[in-house]
Amino acid sequence: MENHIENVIETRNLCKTFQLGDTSVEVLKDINISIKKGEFVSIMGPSGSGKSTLLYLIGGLDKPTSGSIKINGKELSVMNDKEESTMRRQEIGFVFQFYNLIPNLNVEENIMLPILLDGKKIKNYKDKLNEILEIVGLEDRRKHTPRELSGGQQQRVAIARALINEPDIILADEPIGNLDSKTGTDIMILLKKINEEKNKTIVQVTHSTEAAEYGNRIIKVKDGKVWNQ
Amino acid sequence: MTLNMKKGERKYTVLGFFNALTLMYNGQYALIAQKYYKNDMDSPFYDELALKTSKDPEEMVEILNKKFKRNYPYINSVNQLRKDIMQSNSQMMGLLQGFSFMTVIIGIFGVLNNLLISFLERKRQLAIMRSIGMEKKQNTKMLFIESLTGGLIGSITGVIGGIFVNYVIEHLLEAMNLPMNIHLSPSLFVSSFIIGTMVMVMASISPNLKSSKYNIIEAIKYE
Repeated sequence: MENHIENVIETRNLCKTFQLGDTSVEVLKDINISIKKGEFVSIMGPSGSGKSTLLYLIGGLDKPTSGSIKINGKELSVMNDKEESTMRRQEIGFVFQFYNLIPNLNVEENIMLPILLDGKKIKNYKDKLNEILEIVGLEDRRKHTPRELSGGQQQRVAIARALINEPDIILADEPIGNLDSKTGTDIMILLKKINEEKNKTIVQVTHSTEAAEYGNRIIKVKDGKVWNQ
Repeated sequence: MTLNMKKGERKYTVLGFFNALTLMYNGQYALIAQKYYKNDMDSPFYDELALKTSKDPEEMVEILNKKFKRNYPYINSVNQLRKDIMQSNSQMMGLLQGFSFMTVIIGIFGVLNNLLISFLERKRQLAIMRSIGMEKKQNTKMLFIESLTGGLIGSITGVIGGIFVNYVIEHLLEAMNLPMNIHLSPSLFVSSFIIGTMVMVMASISPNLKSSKYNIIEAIKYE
């Protein structure tokens, strides 16, 4: 039982099929993966292999066709919208390739959004916000809007937003896919630091072998199947 | 007072004022003795006469019509005149109300269209918020509060604007020598306020339904 809970992410016979008109496209076939607390896992694979779909299913952003996903021992398929949303706010932090920040909110407001959605008082999280801004190195950019920031800075804001609610898991979809190599390296170093110092479980989807090597395990996905773990 | 008559400037004494019927010449007229009119205007004839009678006015109209039948006169009692003007006024008001109604209908479509376009523009933003943990219920609540606030602000602005425009129109008509007392109906303003707010809230139903159905991933990728 202890071993079971140690797996913060667990998928069993996970399948996802998309219906495109009359054609069924099987994107994921019987995916069985287990990720332990504190691991930094990189999911790699060619375009269209299903790696991003796998990440979205783990994050509850999409529903599997069949199979099960457990996050911190809790089965996703039996959760209703409220439970699923709460899990996305409190147990998972998302980092996207295109940052996905709200353009008319400033850095602080973007970072505090999960707190606001959680119905908590923002003033109680001022210290936490300062701590996170220091980690991501954006203390002097707190009042800037996303369009006033570089790509790397926007991704730092996205990482800070993912961290504010202290989730166990960070899911990153191509976190450096839209950045130059220098900025990409900085972001990967930051993610590695968060993984090691804060003991966060990080699952990233990447094309880049260099980025994948920041993780301590690589899962290769090809044609909807896991090739090695 | 000095009046500029056909025979030149003539001095007249104002003897008093009377409650003029606004039905005729918008109340812009004065009464003078006929001998002065004939002299000062150098005119032996009149084209209009106002008669005061102790008899029944309708009966008098009939008598005069019979008497001057060969001259084809246009004879009307005050009551008939009032009735005719009321009728033509109500026709004009009906036309104006028709325009107002059409404006409201166009406005409703405008509101529906605006909310739907605004939802499509913000679909990605809403999806981003959903991806970081916003519940469907919170999404619905947010859109509802937004439309309610928009409806309240719009209705308050509309009511204040309506009162202001009516006030301006009243003065404008007066400046155009068309004095008209505009009566503002409080119940009309209250119902406009309620309907305006309700239209806005009801218009948010469609975006709300759409927002509870979209796929988060597709919406996030949508630009």
